[in-house]
Amino acid sequence: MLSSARPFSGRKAILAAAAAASLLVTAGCSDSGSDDASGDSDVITIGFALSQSGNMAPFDVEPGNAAMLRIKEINDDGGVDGKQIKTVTKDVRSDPDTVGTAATELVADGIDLLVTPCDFDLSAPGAAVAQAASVPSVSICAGDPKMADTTTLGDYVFSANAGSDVEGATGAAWADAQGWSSAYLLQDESIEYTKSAGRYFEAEFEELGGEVVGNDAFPGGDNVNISSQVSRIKGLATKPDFIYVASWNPGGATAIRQLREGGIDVPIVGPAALDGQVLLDIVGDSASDVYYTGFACYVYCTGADSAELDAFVTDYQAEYDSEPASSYALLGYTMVSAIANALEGADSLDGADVKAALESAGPVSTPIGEVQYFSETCHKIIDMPLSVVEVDQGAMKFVGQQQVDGIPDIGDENACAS
Amino acid sequence: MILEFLISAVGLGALYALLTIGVALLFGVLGLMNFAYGEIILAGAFAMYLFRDQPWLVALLMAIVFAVVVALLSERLAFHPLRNADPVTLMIASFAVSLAIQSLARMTVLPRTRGVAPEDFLAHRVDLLGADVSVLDLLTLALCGTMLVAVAWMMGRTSLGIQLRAAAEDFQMASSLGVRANLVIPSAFVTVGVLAAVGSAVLVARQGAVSADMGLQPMLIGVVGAVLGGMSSLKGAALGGFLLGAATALLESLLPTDLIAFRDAFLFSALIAVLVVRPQGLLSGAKVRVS
Repeated sequence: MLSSARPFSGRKAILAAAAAASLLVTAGCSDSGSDDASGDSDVITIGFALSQSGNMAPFDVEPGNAAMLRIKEINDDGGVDGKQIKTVTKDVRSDPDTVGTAATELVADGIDLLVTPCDFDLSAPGAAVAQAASVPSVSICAGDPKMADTTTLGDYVFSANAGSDVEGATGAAWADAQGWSSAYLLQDESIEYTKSAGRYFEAEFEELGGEVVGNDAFPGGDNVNISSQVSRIKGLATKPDFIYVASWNPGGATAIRQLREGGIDVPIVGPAALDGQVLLDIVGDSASDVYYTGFACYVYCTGADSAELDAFVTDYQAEYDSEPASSYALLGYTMVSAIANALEGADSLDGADVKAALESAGPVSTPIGEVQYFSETCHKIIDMPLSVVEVDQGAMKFVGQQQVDGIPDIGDENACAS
Repeated sequence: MILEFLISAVGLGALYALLTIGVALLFGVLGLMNFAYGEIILAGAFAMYLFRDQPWLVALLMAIVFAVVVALLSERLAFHPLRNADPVTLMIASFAVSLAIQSLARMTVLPRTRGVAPEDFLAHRVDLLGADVSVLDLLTLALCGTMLVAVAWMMGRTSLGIQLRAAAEDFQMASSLGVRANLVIPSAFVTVGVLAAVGSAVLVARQGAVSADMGLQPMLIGVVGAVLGGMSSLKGAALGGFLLGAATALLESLLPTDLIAFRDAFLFSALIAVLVVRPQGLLSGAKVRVS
């Protein structure tokens, strides 16, 4: 027993030593690498901690690509105040633990600004690391209002999106403009984004004089089965004018499909996370009267007739050999425009100065119009013009743009509420 | 209203029973807790996506082909060389197979979720004894029910079934009495492939979405259902899966709106309660087979 164990453990020790040695070597390499990143003040270094894989990848990959595209354009045009933008990327694999580690490494590399994933739950660990180091972090498109609240995660945390509160309120405003007065709220309970979309939809719709005649919930996620919810809606004494489905893809698209298959034919309205080719594929050719408040109408959606959007799609396709599959891609592109716009007036690249520059920058021109990004109290977009898109028998059509000036205060300490 | 609920609850129960049997069969025959089961379902679902423009039956046949091929390949490449290894090694190997297939799918054909449009004939609604039910619900019930009956018939009435059951009871004894491992084990994998394919066809018809990690939840349902019913008994596993599905449907319709988000918490609390009283599962003998 002993004699047979010895050579084995000896070999193990050699292996361990070899492994330790190789670790030392790689550690040495990355040390020398980080000197390059922090030492040069003529470049702006932006760290990207996004998911290239996992369940959040569909929301991160394309906005990340679009951001890189915009950075390339800016660099080709001579950079920001003559400074080139340099990027460092790490794959966080849709895992909150990895986000924290990636952010720690990027901050240690000396980045000037951190870009975190398109979701509050995933961004939070990364944003917390950056906050502790006084490095501003911008979520590429997280929609939960807490992402932009200067007290939840900290005052160095921003989100380059309007947020699900604005999306919910905008959906309510649009429905009200259609003359619809009674709503039914079908709430997906799976993530913070969907919960706040539902809450703010309800608050805004009631503020505008509408009535939410009933609500129901489903757990959401990958495995959606809402047959009981469907029979409860069918059992209502009076049909609501429309149903607001506060959900996200693909579960939300499945819920809409099951509503239609269940024989419920009233209009359906939903937030931007339903956007994309996959909604069209899941609900199929027979579904119609489905609306959502997206960020743009392009590629799989017709009728927006915008030369700037077409140019974005053409450039994106030229760079990545495929068209964007959802309008989230545009958010990455416009985020870089907003950051570059802000940094043009920055005193230095110190964390505090970059933060001040982001808060005080004026509106920036984007393919969907002028957008005011951040202010001192609200670290996200409020008056974003959202594109209402209609799903009609296998096609997506641009209905119009809808905007809200403010969002209702529902007592959840949302600093962006009016 | 009651009838509609019954059809949907029994349909979900039958689907879950189908998923559960796939897990329990391999556990019985091989002592293999197959975590790669979800990826066999993924293979079938991917075929449903690939052949979505073909007639539904063609897509279903292709799903069976895809799932059986993946099941057999995983047996040949991963589990065959480990045939005499202990159950823990097999379980770890199945994790590896699961991750490998999932990553491969994500890198090649399914980098993001794909949608499969509903079939017109499945979305059709019919009037049944005064209740308004969808063809999909009826088909789920019919398809899963037929599969369950077919498996029961195969296990009880055919020579292969008897060999499978003998192997599940005591593999060593069975092989010394002439049951050929090289026949029994691959046929168990083929059966699992067919069950997974039918399950995947129903799942895709209900969800409309196909993604690389879609197998995780059905696999968990299978494992939990099998534990509930009793791992060493196929009948028990089917019952466990059925109860899990029916209880899910019941909770969905009885829970107040505020509590629906916690549906699974209620479900699994009930499961824990059952396991406290009967740790060996509902229909298992007193002796729990460990390997």
